[in-house]
Amino acid sequence: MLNQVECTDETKLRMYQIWIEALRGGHAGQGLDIHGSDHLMDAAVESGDSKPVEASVHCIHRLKTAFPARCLAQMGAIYGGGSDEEVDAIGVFFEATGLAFQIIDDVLNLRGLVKPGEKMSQALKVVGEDITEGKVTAPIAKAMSLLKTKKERQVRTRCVTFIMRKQQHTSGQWLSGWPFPLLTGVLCCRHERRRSGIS
Amino acid sequence: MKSRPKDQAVVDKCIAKLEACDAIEACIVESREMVDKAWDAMDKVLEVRSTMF
Repeated sequence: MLNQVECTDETKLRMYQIWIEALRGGHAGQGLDIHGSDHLMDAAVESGDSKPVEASVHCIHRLKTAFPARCLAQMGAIYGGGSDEEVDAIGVFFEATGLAFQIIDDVLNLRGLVKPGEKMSQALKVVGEDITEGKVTAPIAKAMSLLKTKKERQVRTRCVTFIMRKQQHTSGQWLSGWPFPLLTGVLCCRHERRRSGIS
Repeated sequence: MKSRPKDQAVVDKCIAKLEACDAIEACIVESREMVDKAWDAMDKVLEVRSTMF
C-alpha cells in the first residue's frame, strides 16, 4: 500500500519507520499477552494494591493494540501533511482509544455482547471465557484494590492463577528471555517501547 | 474455585463478584475518561488548523 502512496521519499521513509514500530510494538504486546500478568497477582492479593497488575495489563493492551493504532493514525496524519504537534495529538488520541477498546473488550467478555433484539445465548462473545482461560484482565486487576479483604481477593484469583500456572509449564517458558521487569507496573508504555528498542 | 472453572455457574459467580465490587463499572468509567481526555487534547490542536481555513 505504501508503494502506491504519492509523497516525498522523506515522508515515505517516516511512514515506513512508524509502520515498523507498529509491528514491533504489536508483536511485543502479543508475546507479553501470552505470558500474562498472573505473576503479579500473589502480591496484589496480599497487599490489596492493584496498581502493578493494572499497569501490566495496560502495558500489554497498549503494545498489542493501542500503539499500533497510534502508529497507523500517525501515518495518516503525516501523509495528510499534519504538523508534528498534530501528528502527536492524533497519535495520543488513537492510543487512548486503542487502550479503551481493549479494556472494554475485557468488560464485554464478562457482560457479553449481543446484537439488539438477540438473546444472551446468541452472544458474539463467550461470557467469562477469559476466566476459564485463566487470563488476568483489566476488571480482575482493578478488583484487587476494590475487594476489601484478602480472603475475597483470594477467591477471585484462585481459579485464574491455578490455570495460568498449569499453562505456563507449556506456553510460558519460551518467553523467559523477555524483559519482565517492564511488567512491574512502574514504567509507562513510552519507557517500555524505548527499552524494547522501539523509539 | 480451585478447580478449572468450566462450570458456567462458577464463572457466573466470579463475574457477579466483579460486578458487586464495581470493578467492571470502574473499567468502563476509566475507558470513557481516557478517550474524553485524549479527545479534548486533540481537539485543541486541530481546532487551530480548522480556524486556518
